[in-house]
Amino acid sequence: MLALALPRRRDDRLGAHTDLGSQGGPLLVTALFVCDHLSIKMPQRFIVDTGSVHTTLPETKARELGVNFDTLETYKVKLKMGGIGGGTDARMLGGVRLVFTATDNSSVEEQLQFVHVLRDPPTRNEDERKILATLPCILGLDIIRRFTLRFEEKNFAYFER
Amino acid sequence: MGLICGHTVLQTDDKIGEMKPKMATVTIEKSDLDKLAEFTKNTHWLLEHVDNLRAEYPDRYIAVFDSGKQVLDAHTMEELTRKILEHARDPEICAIEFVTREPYLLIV
Repeated sequence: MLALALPRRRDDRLGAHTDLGSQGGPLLVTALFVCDHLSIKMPQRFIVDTGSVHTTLPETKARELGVNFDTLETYKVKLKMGGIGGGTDARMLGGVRLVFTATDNSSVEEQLQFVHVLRDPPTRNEDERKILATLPCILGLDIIRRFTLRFEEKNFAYFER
Repeated sequence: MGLICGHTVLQTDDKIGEMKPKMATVTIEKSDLDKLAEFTKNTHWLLEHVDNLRAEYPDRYIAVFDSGKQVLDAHTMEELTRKILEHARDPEICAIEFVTREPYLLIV
């Protein structure tokens, strides 16, 4: 998790950690999601996903931020978005900044020309809908590749320059 | 000349012909970073205590404040949002999760 005060570590890196529950979980970081032209700045959770090229928001999360999926730009080139679970529509939200907190409490700002916003897929039941409602955003390779990702402990990893 | 991408006005750079965003800048204040730090603490606490929370709040939405010192719960997100506001808490700093009765493994 970002901003953990960890002794005997370099001070200029970002920390990430996993769900500490019995089943384990994905690697998570937190960041301030900033979108200048929509005057959005709100803390968000991100799953660190090296399998995703771009940083991505679920539609539900975008809606919480005040972003209307239907007003977003569609792709100029037809592009289908999909994963193991299937495919869905996607659009682009331009001009985004992510502000992280390093382990020395300094802020680290990363700019993105755009992020993807994925249309929420149809759900089979109420439980699926509720899980989707709190799904984190995805931190993709467009950010991850700016750092060296180092796994050091069971539940921690660090982004280093 | 510009075109609209979402709500972003993209303008042509005359020299290289690329489209670059031109937009107002949101200022990041210390209070915003303080919010992020609080959100991070709450999220960290939530992740560390997810198994205990599963036993206490099965199939409920929860909102964690003050590193777990205050946990609000509800059956719906709307009810949870109302409780957060009734307690005069800032919804942006809490960690919100739907706690499934059984462990749920997320695959992206």
